[in-house]
Amino acid sequence: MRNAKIRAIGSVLLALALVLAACSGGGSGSKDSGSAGPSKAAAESNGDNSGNGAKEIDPYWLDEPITFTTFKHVGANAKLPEGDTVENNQYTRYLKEKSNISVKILWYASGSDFDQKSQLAIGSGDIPDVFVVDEKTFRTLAKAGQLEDLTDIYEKYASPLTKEIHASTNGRALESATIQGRLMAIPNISVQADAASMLFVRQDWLDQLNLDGPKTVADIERIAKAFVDNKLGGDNTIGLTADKLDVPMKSARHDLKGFFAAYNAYPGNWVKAGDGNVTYGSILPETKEALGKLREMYLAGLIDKEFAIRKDKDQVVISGQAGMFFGPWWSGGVLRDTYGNFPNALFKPYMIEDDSGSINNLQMPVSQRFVVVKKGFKHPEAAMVYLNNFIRAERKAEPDAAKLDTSVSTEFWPIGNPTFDYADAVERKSVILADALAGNIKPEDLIPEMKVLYDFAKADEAAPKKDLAGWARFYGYTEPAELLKLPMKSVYNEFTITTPTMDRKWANLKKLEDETFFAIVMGNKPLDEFDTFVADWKAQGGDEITSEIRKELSER
Amino acid sequence: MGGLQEAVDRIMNHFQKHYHLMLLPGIIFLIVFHLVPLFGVVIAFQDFNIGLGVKKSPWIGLENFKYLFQIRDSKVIFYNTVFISSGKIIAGIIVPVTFAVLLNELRIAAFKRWVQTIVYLPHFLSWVILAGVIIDMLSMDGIVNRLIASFGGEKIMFLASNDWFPWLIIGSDTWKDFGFAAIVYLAALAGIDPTLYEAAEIDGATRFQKIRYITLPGLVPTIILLATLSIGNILNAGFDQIFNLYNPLVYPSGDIIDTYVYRVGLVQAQYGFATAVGLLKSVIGFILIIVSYRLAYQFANYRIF
Amino acid sequence: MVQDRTLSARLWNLFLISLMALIGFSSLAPILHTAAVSLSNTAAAAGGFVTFWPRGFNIESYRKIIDDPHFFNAFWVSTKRVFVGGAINFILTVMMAYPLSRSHREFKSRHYYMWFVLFTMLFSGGMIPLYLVVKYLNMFNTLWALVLPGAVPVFNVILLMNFFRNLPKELSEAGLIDGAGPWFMLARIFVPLSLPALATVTLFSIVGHWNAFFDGLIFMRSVENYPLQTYIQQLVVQLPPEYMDSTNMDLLDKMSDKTLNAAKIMVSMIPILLIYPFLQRYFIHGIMLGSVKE
Repeated sequence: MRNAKIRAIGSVLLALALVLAACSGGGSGSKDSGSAGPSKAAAESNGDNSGNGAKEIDPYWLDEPITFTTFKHVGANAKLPEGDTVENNQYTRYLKEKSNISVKILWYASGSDFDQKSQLAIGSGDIPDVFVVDEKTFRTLAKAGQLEDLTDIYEKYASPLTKEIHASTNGRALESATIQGRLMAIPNISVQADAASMLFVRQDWLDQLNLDGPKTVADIERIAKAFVDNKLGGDNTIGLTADKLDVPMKSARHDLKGFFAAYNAYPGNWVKAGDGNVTYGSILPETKEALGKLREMYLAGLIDKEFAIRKDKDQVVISGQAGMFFGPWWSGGVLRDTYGNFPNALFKPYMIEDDSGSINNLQMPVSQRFVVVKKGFKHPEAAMVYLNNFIRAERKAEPDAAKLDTSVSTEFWPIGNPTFDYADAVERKSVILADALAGNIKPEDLIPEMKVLYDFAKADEAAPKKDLAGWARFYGYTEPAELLKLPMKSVYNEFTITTPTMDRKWANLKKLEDETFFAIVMGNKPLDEFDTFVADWKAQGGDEITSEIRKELSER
Repeated sequence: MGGLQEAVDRIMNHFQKHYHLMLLPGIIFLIVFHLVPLFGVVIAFQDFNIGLGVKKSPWIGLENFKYLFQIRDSKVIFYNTVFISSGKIIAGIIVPVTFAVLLNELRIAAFKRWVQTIVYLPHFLSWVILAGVIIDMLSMDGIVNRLIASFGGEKIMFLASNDWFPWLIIGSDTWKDFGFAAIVYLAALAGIDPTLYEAAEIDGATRFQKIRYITLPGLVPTIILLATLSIGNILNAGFDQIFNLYNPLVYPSGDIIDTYVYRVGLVQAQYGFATAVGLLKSVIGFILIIVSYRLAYQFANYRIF
Repeated sequence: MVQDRTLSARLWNLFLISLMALIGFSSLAPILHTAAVSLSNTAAAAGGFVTFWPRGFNIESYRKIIDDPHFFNAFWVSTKRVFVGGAINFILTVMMAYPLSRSHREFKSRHYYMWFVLFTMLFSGGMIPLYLVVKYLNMFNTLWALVLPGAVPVFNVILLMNFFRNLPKELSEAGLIDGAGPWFMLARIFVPLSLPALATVTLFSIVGHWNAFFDGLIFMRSVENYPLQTYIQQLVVQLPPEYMDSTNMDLLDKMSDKTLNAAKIMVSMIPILLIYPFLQRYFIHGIMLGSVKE
């Protein structure tokens, strides 16, 4: 009985919040004597403690050993070698050696467990000194005045490499971590590859029917009809799967992101409309058009009839019933399982263009993870130095870093592993893999992570699809990654957080939207219901929210 | 017999001390782990920001509660919640009682034990799993629809129908948990004096008469107890279950308080709001229990607790 | 026992048996399905091809769960918890149910206690205050955090109280005449005669402790102290949308690994399946036989 109640509250707490209660700050200045400083890479002079003016700051080393507390996310199955623990492993040792920083890990958990636990911990005053949070939590904490201002710290302590990586986003990353002109967190860089929505099609079915791959929505329709008419997936062939009727920033399997994008429609997001003003995508005419086509296709039996009800959409693909689905570049798992059941099946990914031939792609927020420092922590520079080392090691820009065993998950870095990679990391890796397979790079020269992929790829060359699990590991870096390199028009969600009116009215507006859109697509309501929806949406708070958002954006 | 009465009273007074003593350890635990944390309900009256904590979050009085009633669909949501809950309570009495009574009639002990164990098992399955099974069974190609089609009927998309959805929720939940309530009833049945049955046998009572005049009355106290406790839970219509089975098409009949609150929480951590809703549920549940208690006392001179 | 041998009685029996078998099967079906999935090949399970019989039989999922070094440790933690927690539950349930079952005449303050107990069952302050209390008592990472907050299973107390109340008054009167005090009455008279109810509340308590995972998550700092359910829960973790991207591909694979999910359920259920029949022998008829003379 109690569990149900707890869970009910717990699930509402999914959106994070952090608490800074009057817990004493993290221990600064630990007692152990500074160990012998290792060689310092990158050009910097030996930090001399005697206060002669303009002392150069070493972005990778702290003269005095510092310990800070944290809690973090660790995947349930992350493995460590014999003898190592979460508190003591190659990364923590590397960190201590290179920077003189130790980290005390209060606790760790994975997935949604981590969210719930961190919320509680923070709510009870257990806020650590330095840790990683998502955007909502970051803004909540900042609003509550619980974070240390890092503007100067960044200026003084960020290494050239760190600055370069942030700069590669044209300043958008740092901007997202800036509140009222001050930098309140160190933002990470999202891997943009996850944004693209590709259409995976049963190539073997296409070949059977002698059809070309799809380029436009009209093609999708045609192909779906052919699949269904010819019952290639059995009596209940599904042409195209579907899931939600809005567009997520992170592409998910079975969403219709690629479909909507071909209409330049982005329901669920705040985008710049034709007139240049930020508007809610769901009320724009492009969305109506897209819904209209979906409706047609649904009524013609081309889309999964039960898409609104089904919870497990992968199943219809893996069971050989469905011929097409949209998904991100890393959808190899579903392909793998389908091949497991149907050895002769073959999928090929395609990107869908709009009428003018352009591939539209709604980008992910530039930064999704923020490294924050609790207000009052005596050594905020430790966070920056830590990150400098982390980034440098991840980039393999330091000789000792290359010796780190990459089969050990990078989550074991003390505060976790927010990605600080180049936004096009996936594409880069695919190039390396292709080069290695073509013999241009020697296998021994590959970094361990790439070597693993290379080995799988080589094995697959010899015995195609024999090791399906291995195949799925590297597949994403081949065909899908190639598609990522196609020129795409980037569209941005201009507003990813909430406003006060949204807090009150959004759930209701979203409910209205969901009910209407599903009813339209499934034929329960006519397409023109859309116009009624737009009017209702505006009247029930939509206009209010729109002006709030435009105002806030103009003040940023 | 004043002397005897006094003696009894004196003994009773002596016993009081022991009764208090027996309750003491439990009460201490309840105070520490249930009463003390109750200070947290103030959150229901705050615009709670976890960053500020309980001490510093601004006080907004009844705003959170008002918000719940200001939601456009609040009437629908409340109605759905109460409808589904009541259905579950009623079915949650009829089915386990019937089952327990029928099972009790069987004389093959081993078979009885097995059945009793087996029907308790679905209680352990999470709704995530069960929803998948149910969705499969009710899909257009699922067992149910195929049966319908073979009888010449038209297939129904059950989980998209507002007519069917609430009944599906009530039905599947009853199926999942009747074994649990049945255990309690079976225990109660085991405690009925068998000499009553023997006497009835001698008087020539039929099976049904025995059930009607001995078995059922024997169960009445337990039934009333469980029913009353369920009523205290009336605004909890089953979040896990509905969350895993619903979709926007059945919002009109299936959206309950908890699912709505959950979606609100997705937008922004609405801790204050969630706590307010929880508090409201507790208050209403408690009031209903008190009402039931009073009714039973007034009309049947029976104290449920 | 005199068996009714008439045709109608036999038909009735037959009907009952078939009905019960049908009900039993409907309850068993999803379990069989889950068991079959847990022993199947992942691709087949993901394609929905498994009904009641495994396809591509393998015990990979079980191996994944058991091979994990923490598994047996978590199992041990849960076992300790069931024993200690169960014992505490039992003692407190019995000790509280008895006074509460006395009539107002016998125990003047019972109403106050009764409503207090009921109140605690319905009202909760939420997770944060409980977390703070546990923290303040320094119980983090100890067995006590798992066992003490739920020390009084209020629902069970009320159930047992109800059962005690329905025992014949003659019992307590007889005891009184024999000079028995409350403790004696409780221990020597009420408890022995309430075996079915005691078996019930014991079962609920054991199941409750065995299945609880949330408190393990919240109050335990490190994986070594996780009880079994918490541990398995995070093995087959549910990722919220923010985490669903390519940086968590391993976790995502695990999440959609149906066979692993199924194995997790089977592992949690098996101990209960073993305990339940053991407790069933206490659901005895006629426990009252001979105890009260008209």
